[in-house]
Amino acid sequence: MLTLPIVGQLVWTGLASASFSCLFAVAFALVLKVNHVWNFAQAGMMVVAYAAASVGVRELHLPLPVATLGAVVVAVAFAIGVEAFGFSVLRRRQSPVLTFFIFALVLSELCTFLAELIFGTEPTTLVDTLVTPVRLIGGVAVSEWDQAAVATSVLMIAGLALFLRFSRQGQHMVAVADNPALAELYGISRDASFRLAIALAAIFVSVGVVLLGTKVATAPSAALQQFLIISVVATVLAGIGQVFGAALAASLLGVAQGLSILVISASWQPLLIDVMMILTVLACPRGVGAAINALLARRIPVRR
Amino acid sequence: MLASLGAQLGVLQVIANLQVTGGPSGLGGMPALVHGDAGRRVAVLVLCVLVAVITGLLAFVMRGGYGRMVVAMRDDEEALLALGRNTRRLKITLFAAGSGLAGLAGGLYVHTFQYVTPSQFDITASTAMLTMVVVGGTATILGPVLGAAILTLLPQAITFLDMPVSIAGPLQGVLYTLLVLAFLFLRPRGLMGARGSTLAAWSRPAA
Repeated sequence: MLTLPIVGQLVWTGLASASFSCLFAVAFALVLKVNHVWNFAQAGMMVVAYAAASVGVRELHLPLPVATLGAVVVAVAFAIGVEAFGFSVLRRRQSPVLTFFIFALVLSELCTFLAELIFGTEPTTLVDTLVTPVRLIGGVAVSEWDQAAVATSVLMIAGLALFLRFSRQGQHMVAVADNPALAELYGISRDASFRLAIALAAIFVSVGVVLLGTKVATAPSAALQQFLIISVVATVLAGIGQVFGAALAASLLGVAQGLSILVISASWQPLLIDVMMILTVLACPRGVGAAINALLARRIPVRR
Repeated sequence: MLASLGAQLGVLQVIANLQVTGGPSGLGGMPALVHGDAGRRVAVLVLCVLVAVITGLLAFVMRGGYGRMVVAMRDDEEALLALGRNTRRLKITLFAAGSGLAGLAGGLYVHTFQYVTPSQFDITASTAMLTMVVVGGTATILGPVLGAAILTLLPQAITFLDMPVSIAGPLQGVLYTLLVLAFLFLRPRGLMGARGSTLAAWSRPAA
């Protein structure tokens, strides 16, 4: 029987489980906004970060926060390498979008195959137990993991918003995102902004995979086949350039997936994501967020 | 591109959830096209002849007026529209023709390997086909054929090393992706593309 606590539980679980998806979506949307690249190499970044965290926890027996820091360092180095030796070379050669897409996707596959070669194909976790203490709040079970995941995501996204709004480097990134050529005329280094954007994306991805690895067992291939697609769909839903819209879209997707269990079986749920992507691309190619903005602009008269 | 990616993933999800298609395990026990070693040699010969015939047919079509129209649309769609040509119908026709060829290839694939699962045709399969075209040379007829041959045969070389499957599989994937990345940066126009692509292409802009 459907009761408020049950619906509340599904909403909360969906929201909490979407915390790492939010971080992945923000990372993807940020690189798309600033670097103007559909960063399908993000799956490779996820694999590299997860591998680094896994080595830190399982082989070096480091505490999880330290292993996370190690994962961040490795992922940032990888990301900057991808931008400096990959995307910037293709940009200099004025390569078509398809070449960027193929490079990014093939690089992700290379990372996945290397991870499978070194670590095997079996799903693994970063912790020995996935169960954390739970308490009831208003009839909704809230675990310690849920709280940590949601708090981490909110803090990181808020931190990014403040960084983009108030810091010089953040403002440079926004300028480069809007008009790279004009930004360069004002003395802003376009390449530095590109590298900073992808480095920030790597930080979000690293924290996201650590959250993921403490929640579910993950195989190397899951990054490309599952989590990257959610990031792409959230970005498409929000619209190009809407970094925080992508986080909201990822949260809503998580909640929608949680609630859809009431009407469709778990095996059909991935289809929900794919259908949303197709419908958004066909009906609102600039994103649902942009469509809503355009609608509001037409409805709300401009005061002269 | 995103819509086609979503369509591919969506169709795979539907196939993986239907009983008639065998669900996620797929369908097995397909009748083989041929039996025995001699039959296999004949099958390889027939497949090679089929590839040659289809490639020849494509080359013949592209050399004619229809091919010139296709090239014109690739170079400047608006100019072709201005000449009164129906570019929408042309795109649909080309997409349908490509899909038909893919369907033929799929049928031959299934009856060669005698089983089919949805996981065989995920995003990595799409990437593989795309990379074969890019490595061979886009906007060429023979390029994709050559790219497919090279990217399929070269990683198979490690099968002679007699390694366990758990190592051979990912290692083939590593070799494949490294090959593609090497071609992407060292020979960006592909094997059949413009000549003169060398390490210098790393730094000079594409013409």
